[in-house]
Amino acid sequence: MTTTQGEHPLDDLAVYAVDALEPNERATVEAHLAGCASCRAELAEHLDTLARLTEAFAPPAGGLEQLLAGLDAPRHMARPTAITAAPSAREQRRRWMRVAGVAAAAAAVAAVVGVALSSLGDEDTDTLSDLADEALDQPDADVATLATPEGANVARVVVTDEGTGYLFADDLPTLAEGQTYQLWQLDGPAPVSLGLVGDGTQPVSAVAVPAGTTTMAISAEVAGGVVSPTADQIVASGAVAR
Amino acid sequence: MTEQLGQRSDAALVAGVVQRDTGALGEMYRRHAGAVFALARRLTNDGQAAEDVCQTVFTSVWTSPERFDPERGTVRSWLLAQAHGRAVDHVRSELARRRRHARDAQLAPLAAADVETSVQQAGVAEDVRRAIESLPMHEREPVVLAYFGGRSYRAVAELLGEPEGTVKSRIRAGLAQLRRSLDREGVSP
Repeated sequence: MTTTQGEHPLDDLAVYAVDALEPNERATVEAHLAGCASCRAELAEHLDTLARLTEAFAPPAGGLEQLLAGLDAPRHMARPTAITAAPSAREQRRRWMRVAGVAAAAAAVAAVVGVALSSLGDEDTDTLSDLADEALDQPDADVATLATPEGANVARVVVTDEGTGYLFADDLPTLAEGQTYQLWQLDGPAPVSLGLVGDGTQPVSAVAVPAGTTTMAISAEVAGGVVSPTADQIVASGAVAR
Repeated sequence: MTEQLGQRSDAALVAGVVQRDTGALGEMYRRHAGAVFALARRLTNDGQAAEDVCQTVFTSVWTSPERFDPERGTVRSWLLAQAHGRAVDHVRSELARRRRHARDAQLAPLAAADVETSVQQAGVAEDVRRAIESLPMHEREPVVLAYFGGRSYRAVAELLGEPEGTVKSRIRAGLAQLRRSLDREGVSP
């Protein structure tokens, strides 16, 4: 009954536009769209029709300030070039990996415990927590437990297939005013900022996590964040347990 | 600088975001966040959830502006599609959560009543409502249940007691009809 014209999944394309396809069918449509200009045009038409159902309104008050404050450190700033006294990138990475290595072993065990504990969580927390719990509930969830160099588990990061990460500030100490926690990816030659994640008082933060991320760390920085982590301000680190 | 931003096209603003220009992001926000928020609130019926959706959408514009593909529509329809997808995720996880707690016996209200209240409570503009109401019922129901109700086509089929394939083709026919109705009502994007 479902109409396709030649190769084109025209019915599914409309259902895709209203976000009503099942996940496997959505993937099929997306694969088709990637190689089919006429279906991209058809989709554009559907999305335009649907966009006309919503009027223009004034943006929510204070939202822009909150948005800009939540962005990671401005990446248009030049990466710091090596200053004579600074350790080389290789040396810096070695130092980072050392800290991360300590935590990684604990992470695998802790991840399992973490998942079990989280299901006991509060029911009526805000929606970000719901999304985060949902992500954590997935049977194949990628979870990194971040532990201090002393081995205390203080935070978890769950990463979804779409690349959204949720940081659970389970036991992160609350920072002094003017400071913020910043999450880092340590898999490349230099740490990459994954975003600012609050001062330890908000239970869950959302971050964007690039595909392939396994090792992460969290550092305490000045509010606004920094381009490169302050080495002695690393609080905890860990790797994704799969 | 601000004047220049105000004159840039939406697509030029996306290019600005790719260049890590927070001013371009701010201008996009000023132009479209209200609609993004309104759509999210319409679906979730929850102001806090809608604010979260709005922040998430614009944060993802900042982290992945290269996902914008002009072949798949305008910046505005791209942003609204993202808002819709995230709001639907929220609605479905709320439904799943309520179902888990099984206190809500009213999970499947009568479809017809549901369609009417969805559109009425959604606070859509009068001309848009007229366009929606001009659709024949067998097309209006599946489109409204899916788009405003956040339901999958399978859930819609179950609710309406129609075969899944029928629901799919009616959603497609309904969107085409809706487009013509919006044209007739003079509703511009």
